[in-house]
Amino acid sequence: MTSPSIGTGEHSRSARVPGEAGVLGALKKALEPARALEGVRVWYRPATGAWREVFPQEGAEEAPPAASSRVRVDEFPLRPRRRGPMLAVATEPPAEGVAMLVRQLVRAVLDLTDLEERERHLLDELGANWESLEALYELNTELRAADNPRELLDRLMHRKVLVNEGLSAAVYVEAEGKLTLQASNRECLAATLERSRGLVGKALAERRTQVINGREELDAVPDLEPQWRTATSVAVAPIATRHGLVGAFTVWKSGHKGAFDTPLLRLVEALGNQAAMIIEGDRLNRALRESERLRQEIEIASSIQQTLLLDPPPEDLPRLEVAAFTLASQRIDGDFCEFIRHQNGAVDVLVGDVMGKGVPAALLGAATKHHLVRAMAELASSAAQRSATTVPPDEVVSLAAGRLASQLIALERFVTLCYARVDAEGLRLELVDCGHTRTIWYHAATGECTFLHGENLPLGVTENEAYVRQTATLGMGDALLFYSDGVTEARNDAGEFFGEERLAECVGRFAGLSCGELLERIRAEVVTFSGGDAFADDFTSVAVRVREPGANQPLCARRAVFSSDVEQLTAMRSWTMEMAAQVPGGLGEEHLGELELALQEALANVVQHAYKNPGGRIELEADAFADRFQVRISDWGEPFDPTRVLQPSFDGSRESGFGVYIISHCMDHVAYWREPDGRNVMWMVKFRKPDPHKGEKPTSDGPEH
Amino acid sequence: MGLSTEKTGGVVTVTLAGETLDAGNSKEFKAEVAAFLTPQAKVVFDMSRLRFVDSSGLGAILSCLRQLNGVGGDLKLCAMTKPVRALFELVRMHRVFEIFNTREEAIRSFGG
Repeated sequence: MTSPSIGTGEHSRSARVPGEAGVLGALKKALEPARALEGVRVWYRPATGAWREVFPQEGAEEAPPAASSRVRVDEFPLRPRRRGPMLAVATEPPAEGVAMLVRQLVRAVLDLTDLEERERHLLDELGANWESLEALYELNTELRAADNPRELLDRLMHRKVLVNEGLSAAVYVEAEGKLTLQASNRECLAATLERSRGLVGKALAERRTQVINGREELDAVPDLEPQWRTATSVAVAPIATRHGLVGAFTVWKSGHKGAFDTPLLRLVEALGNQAAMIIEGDRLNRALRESERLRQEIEIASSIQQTLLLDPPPEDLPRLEVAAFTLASQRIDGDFCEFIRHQNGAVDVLVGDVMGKGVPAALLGAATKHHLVRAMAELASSAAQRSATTVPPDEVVSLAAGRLASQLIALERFVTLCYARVDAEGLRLELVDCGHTRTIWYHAATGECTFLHGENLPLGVTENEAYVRQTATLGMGDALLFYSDGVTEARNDAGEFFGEERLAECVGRFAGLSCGELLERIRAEVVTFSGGDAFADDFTSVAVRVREPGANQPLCARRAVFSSDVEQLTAMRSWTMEMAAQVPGGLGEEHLGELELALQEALANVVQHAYKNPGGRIELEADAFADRFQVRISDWGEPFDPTRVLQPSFDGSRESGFGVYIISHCMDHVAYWREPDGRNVMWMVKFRKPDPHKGEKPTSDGPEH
Repeated sequence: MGLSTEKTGGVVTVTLAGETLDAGNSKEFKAEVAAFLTPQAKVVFDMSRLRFVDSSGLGAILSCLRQLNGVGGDLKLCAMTKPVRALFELVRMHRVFEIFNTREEAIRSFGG
């Protein structure tokens, strides 16, 4: 910013300290539309003092985060060249487009406040000499809402201050290399002026306001603009913004007495400044509209994803339980999933991921999905003609990939895909894995997880690729987890990935939950790990479980609320045991005993440890299914994860510490988690049939550990 | 919880009267039974009426054993119901306690 050309005194220098409230106010207003972008936070640090967050919320004193792979941090000095107030803008995740827009916005706000400051300084000097000072301030407030810069400049021209003095005024702003007339209070003026000629040219070249009084003096100006050939006084102020000299503000008069004096010069400079603010304000508004456009693009991509890419999982399958969870990131990856039901009860699960972001990736995902479904339909109809029952999934993938390959290669994109056919009747899995994340397979018989991985290349890497399938035999109760790399590539503060091992551990720990709840637990674990749910990539997960017929719906589901008290333990136990009796055929005497014991231990933990005093709320939810009984115990006390406690001592040397061991050995599945509202959930399942993993349960003649 | 006792020779048999020994009454039980945990005492717990014992109840019985062992006495258990036996086996306390099917066997075992 150039200094005013007229001398500044001590008083005015002290007046140049920027108004913190002004800068912050303008900044918050300008950033308002950025709320829709999420992940944008702004900190402010005064010249002497500590950082504090100012956007999107006023926060406590706290420094902005250090820049990392997850967060982009830009700092802006409010006063250049010395230690002064600072702004810091953090963008998380560091989406380049968003960061760029925010940087532009912040710079524009700083420019604007800089101009205001300069104007305030000029007005200070103008003092009370001008009765219309108030009118200048009035415009200031209008500037904030500047949506039509031309109209505002026009109003500037018709200021009482100019009209009363019989002054003519015109403002020229650069457009396409020429200074173009934007507004004036006179007619018959040149529509454009040369920026390197005449008085305007001189003002711009010297970057200072020019004042010429007298006809002779004016005639001496080389190439004087024709419109001032009859003027007796002319003043030209350059309009300067951070982006350079963008125009000129001109004032002149003809035949009236008196020359242009210093106060008038200051007025012209003040008005020139206001013109600069109007122009800068317009630039700012354009930047805001740009950010709005970006937001709309995100919305479009997101709605493509929701409507075209993500298929709701089938719900009413007799022997299969299927659930899907997706969370679109700000960048939209083009994750897609599709479910195809077959006559024989088998279900095809397609999970794919397009390399790339935004609307193009979303559209490519939709195209890929379309080709796969089309290939399936075509092959199915020709198979029906041959009386074949099903179409092998590798044939579907090969046909679709063949049609897509040349397009994908031309676009330099590729698509990873996992095409799985789950046949619950025959307990058979057919899988065509094309470079997708490794499928996690939970084995109900052992409680362990393994990975499934194919050798096929992603779609769009080579043409005429022959895709091969692999097959596996599933066990009753087995579950499969398909997911996008957005799940495993979520990072923590240390930059570590969540990773497939942690994911598999999660699947094993929560495998007994319904598929929908399993996915919700996985999401919660990833959020806890990465410290936020603004994922950098799309988060897609699909869980499928093979079950006995009719095992998906509870036959009886009830809920009861108790007060935490040792005296209530018996009542809580009895209530739950009555519910357990609803399982058809009964759980069996021995299993009922184990259930009662586990319940007692879990409830006693809540009563004695989660709540320090009696009276806390305990909620019991019990569901009796055809093949199992499940109970959920909720409390709002101290968190305590009983599934993560060490082994007790079995030699009689300690009288306590058996509870957790008892629970985990008496139930088939146990999971514990804490919900955001402070609810601690302990969830336990007991199957009706003897459970295979009870093999390791110690018996009277079992081996000592 | 109510305890009844019977003395046979030098052996005190304590019958645990309630059906339940758990977090709700194990403190009370420990207080009541303390009177029998004297030096050199030979004690049998008759558990035939107990239907439900949890880890607190088990801890209480374990504490009796340790107290008696500490003063030269001994504790034996008898007549456990199935669910209670299952708990003892689960946490391997059947290897810490001497458990007999009947009260007579338990008493006799002190004589030998």
